[in-house]
Amino acid sequence: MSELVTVSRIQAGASASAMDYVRLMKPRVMSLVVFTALVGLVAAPGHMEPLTAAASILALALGSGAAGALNMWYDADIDAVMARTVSRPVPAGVIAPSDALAFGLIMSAISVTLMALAATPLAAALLAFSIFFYAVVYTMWLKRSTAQNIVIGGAAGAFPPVIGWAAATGHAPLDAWLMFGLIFLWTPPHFWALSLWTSKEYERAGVPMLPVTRGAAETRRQILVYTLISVVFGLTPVATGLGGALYMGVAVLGGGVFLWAALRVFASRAGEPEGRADIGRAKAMFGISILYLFALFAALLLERALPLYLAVGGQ
Amino acid sequence: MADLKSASAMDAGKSPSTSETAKNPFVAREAVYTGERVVLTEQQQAARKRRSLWLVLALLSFVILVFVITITRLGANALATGL
Repeated sequence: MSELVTVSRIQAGASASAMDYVRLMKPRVMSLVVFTALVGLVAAPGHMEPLTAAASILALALGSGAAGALNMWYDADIDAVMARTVSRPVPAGVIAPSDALAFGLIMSAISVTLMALAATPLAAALLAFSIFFYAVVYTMWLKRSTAQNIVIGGAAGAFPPVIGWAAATGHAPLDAWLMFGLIFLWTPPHFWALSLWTSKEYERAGVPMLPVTRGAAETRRQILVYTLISVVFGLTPVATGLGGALYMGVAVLGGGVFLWAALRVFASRAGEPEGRADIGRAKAMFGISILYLFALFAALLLERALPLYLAVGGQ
Repeated sequence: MADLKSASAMDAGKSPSTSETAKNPFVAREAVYTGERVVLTEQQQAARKRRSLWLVLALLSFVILVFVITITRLGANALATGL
């Protein structure tokens, strides 16, 4: 009945507003992308024209939005059976899947073109690759096939500071990749904490998140291991001179709190049927993880932008 | 919700054979006239108008941004090369 599909498609998008398309772009994820990219851009040596810098950040925001739209297009079936995502524009029937796909593809092209024009070919190439990585490698492949989906897929969200650095200089040296590493290693414990209280939904949707495939106890153990690695890695920017005294203080203090939260989760029974009282620990860790990453990048930004940089090591 | 109206007065087109498209994915499907039409409600028409306005604004902003970036970068390069 192809004619009915056509008609329902027109109906699905008929009442959509501009704000629905903004929601399609995952604005909360976009805000983190913009922030970390800005830090990469500011931390990079040299000077960039304010206009081209702003255009580069805009291009990155649009690229992030494009990847989000492509993710929502492909994952509409999963989103429809999870309480956390059922009200997204595509499963809610506000935007037709084909419209979401077209929007994502057009925004991808616009964002990469704008980046190439405003910044450097390397920044544009990295942006294109990060959109591809999130939409194809993570969303279409990893997410539904392996419990390591978040571990590998976390790379997609880690690219923005490297892109910001490449936009400013045309290069991506070690310091830029250290910022990549901060986000990459932070992603698994952050999302696994969330999955401890949403594992039933993931299971129903057929997504092989770690608590679904390996159980809550193994998830809590891996949260602790990855948090430890993440906190130790968080100190490497001090060694290379990317981060100064302020950054080191934040990394030590914030890392300590992050690790403490992970230990509390590890010692709990969060994620198990009899561990409902402990879910608060997982939720607390989820919130602390966001604050930890924000604090690290805010410290880097403050050191370079104000400037408050006081060398401790490296350089 | 949009109304579906059967346009029985109009002739429904003949369904094309789909065997060719089944064999070769690069052969475009032909449209099949079904006699159905979509009539948008006033609310949906207003929403479409608003979307169109946003689209105009977005495209206009993009064109202006590309122009300004081009001029800025041309100017910077001209200064750098001493032109």
